[in-house]
Amino acid sequence: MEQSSEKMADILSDEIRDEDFELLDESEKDSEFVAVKGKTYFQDAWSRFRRNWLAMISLAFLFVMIVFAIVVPILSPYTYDGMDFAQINALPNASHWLGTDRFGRDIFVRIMYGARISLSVGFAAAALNLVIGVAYGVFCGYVGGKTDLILMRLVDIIYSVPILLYVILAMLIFGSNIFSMMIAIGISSWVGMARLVRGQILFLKEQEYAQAAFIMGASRARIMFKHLIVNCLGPIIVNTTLIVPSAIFTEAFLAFVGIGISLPQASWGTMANDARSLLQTQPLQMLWPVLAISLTMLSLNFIGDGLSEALDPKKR
Amino acid sequence: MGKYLVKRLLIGAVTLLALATITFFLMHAIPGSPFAGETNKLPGVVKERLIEQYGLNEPIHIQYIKYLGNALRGDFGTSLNRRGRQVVDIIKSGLPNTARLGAVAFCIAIGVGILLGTVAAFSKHRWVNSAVAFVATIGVSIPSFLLALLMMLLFGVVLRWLPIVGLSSWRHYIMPGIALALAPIAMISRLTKTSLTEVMKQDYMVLARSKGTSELMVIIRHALKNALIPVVTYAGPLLATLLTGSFVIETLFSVPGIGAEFVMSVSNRDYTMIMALTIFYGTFIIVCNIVTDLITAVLDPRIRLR
Amino acid sequence: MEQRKTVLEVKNLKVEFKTDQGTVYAVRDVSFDVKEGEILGIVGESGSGKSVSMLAVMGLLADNGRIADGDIIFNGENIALKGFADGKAYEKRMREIRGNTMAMIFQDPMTFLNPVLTVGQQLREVILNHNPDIGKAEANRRTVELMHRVGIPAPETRIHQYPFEFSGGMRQRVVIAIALANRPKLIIADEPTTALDVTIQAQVLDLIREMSVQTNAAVIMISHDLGVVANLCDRINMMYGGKIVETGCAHEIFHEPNHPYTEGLLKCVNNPEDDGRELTPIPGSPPDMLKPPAGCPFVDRCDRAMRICKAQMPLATECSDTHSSACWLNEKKRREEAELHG
Repeated sequence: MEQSSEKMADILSDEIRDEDFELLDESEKDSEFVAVKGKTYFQDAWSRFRRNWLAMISLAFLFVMIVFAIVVPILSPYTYDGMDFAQINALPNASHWLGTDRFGRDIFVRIMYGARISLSVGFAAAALNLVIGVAYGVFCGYVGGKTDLILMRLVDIIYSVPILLYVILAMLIFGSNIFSMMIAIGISSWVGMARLVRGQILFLKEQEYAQAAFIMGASRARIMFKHLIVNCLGPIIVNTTLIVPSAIFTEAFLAFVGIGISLPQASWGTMANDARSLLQTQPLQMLWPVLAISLTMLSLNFIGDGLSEALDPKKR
Repeated sequence: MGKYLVKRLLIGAVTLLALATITFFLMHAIPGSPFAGETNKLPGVVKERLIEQYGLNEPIHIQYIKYLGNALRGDFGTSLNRRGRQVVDIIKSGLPNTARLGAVAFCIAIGVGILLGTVAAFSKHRWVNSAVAFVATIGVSIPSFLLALLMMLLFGVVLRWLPIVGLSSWRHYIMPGIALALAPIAMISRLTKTSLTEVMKQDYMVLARSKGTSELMVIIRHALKNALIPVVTYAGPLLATLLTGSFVIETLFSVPGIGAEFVMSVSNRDYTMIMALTIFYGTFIIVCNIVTDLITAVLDPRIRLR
Repeated sequence: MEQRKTVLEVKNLKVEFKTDQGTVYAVRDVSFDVKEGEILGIVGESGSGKSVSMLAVMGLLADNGRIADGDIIFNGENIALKGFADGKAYEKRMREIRGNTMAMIFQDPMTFLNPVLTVGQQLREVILNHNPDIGKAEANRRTVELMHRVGIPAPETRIHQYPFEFSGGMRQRVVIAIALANRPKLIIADEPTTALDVTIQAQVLDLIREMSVQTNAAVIMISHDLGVVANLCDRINMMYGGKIVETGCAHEIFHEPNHPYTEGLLKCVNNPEDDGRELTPIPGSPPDMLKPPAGCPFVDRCDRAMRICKAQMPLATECSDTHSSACWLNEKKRREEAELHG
């Protein structure tokens, strides 16, 4: 601030005319500066998700996989258990796109049939997880106190039981089929969701806006849904997305050790297990189920990561 | 602290009792189980012994109390599948192998995971960050049995560098150890990275720097302790799962551990074995959770002094 | 004012932040100084650049921020980054200065203390950083003495407690104790009372003033609240849009404000001596520092804004030896007077 007023006047008097000192009209001012254009939470999240190319490619891959899993077994001339002993261990060719296995079964159809099993196990587990886990977590977190303590101990117990036990129990009750796998994996995976939701609810319950809503006379149910659930939505969606690959993984490894759906039904895990004995002579037969598992898991994980980044309110 | 420990132990004991109870009654409810009363499928000798041992003709609550009493004395009965062998003996002979392999995998997972996560958190280069994130995603996406198979094929069959069966020398631990550690490495590196990044953004880091503390000491003294809390919370249950064995890896590498034993008992419907192993797993997980809580309490005074 | 030593002189400081949306020009050509024993207030709303300019002085800007230009002369030494051979040498010298001759009191005692270290450990750290040879016993003795000095009762037992066992006011005393540990020549207080209860605010302000008198340290008090600085500060800088728009002695700012922003802010202050007067908020919101305006940053919210204000930034005009403001109204007045007289 060294400039004296005289010097300043010297510099300026030539350039600046008196008209410049007229009052500025209100309309010439930017009175309200708007920093961020009004977008809803989900529009904003979607625009961030769309910029994540890995997640977008994964989404496309998954979509194609689902369409193929539905369509291919219907349109293909082959079935998952149709053996053709004239065509044993064929390499990929025009009629068998991915070749055939040691019983002459078409691998492409079996892979897509396996996709049906893997994806439905994954989505069913996620759905069970979503329904039971969220309801349980919201209930525990909201009610609190002794009820919460007892219910959370129950969760600890369910968590302590190895998944194999659920599988065997489900298989004994419902038989060796895909339904047992869905039930078993669903039952063993919802506890994580319940804990997550409960934690979020407990945290949000303490936040000022929930208390403010309560003081302002909102009903209990309204607080629960309007504020708490909406604010937990991000973590819930991400957790659900990540349950899908972990369920697919569990199904695959159980099938791999020979527990789960009964042969000759095709699951990626049973196919990988089948191909083990031929690993050195027919490595391609191992490659297909393995590629299918890995790519599906990768894309689901990328989608989960993309969602968690897009839905994180802190990253807005 | 003492009060906290007693409280956790009591809760653990109650949880364990509930677990044993639920398992017991579920096993009795399963149709076709030897406990269900319709034991016709079982060979006569086993059936007689079972009826004698568990008093299967007695009312179910008496059976339950007897089972618990025997279990407390360390008697879980005999295996249905391997006639005449005590379940406890089978677990005892398998456990050391499983535990040693689990410990190796645990150390690999913790060491590599924390290292990768820290590198990613502090690296100024974007590509380092992306690379670690990619490794982490690959790690959770490739099933461990697949990695095991690939390693067996490459290092065991083609190159013949490493043995693929059993656990008789330190070289036997390398492949199953890595296969078991892959997914945990991914989780731990991710967890370490997020929590370190989060801690580095905290206000108290600015105050620590304003004292003239060097960046290295700021990280060691102020960041690590806070950042490690979530890693410890994950590592506890992980230790439990790793030490009690991975079903697939043990089966693949023909490791005579309790994981392989569990898979076998499930395939063979060996009910006494399944029950004993479930209780054993449960105990282990509960103990690990208590230890985790204690370590967290040591790290975080807010829990300890609450 | 008698000849007192200048402790800190900031000349033409510019600070920028790189963000995803572009470069934020947070501090744009700011110059001021502060002498020993003096308390300088820097007043402005959030985003005006007041805290950022002080973090720049301390060398504690976030990773995406940098001092784009300017000199920071502290105790006769230029401690702006450009005064050093490289970033390493700068960081090394700043480490010797921070917490030693220059210290900072932070805003929120809830978040600025490490939750997992005891209060004693956090205090001892700053003592040992700059006195590595004194040994643990002596460091402990000094820690207790320091806690006593800032008015924490029973320091011998509280030294072993964690921040969450302290009340908000007591935590802020810990934060102040950390800043005062090595008798700094310059204390920067960044809104030290904002997070505290009103009853405790006065105590904390008294404590800061007392410490400045005792050690003859220069104090820079950052605040968005004119009420807080009114009784405490000798001089006040008003900041707006990354620039100093008015500077003067406290009584000049309060009784003869010469910038519409200062006047507007004074109208928002509840003055107990003068009730019945309406509180008037300033309409609008501060400028977007991604695209800082070419003219006066306050133009869009000013009730006397003129065409020139939009086009060009006014230069500072002196009203007295100690008081100056950067506003085109000064020039307008001069012209009107010139017309009148000749």
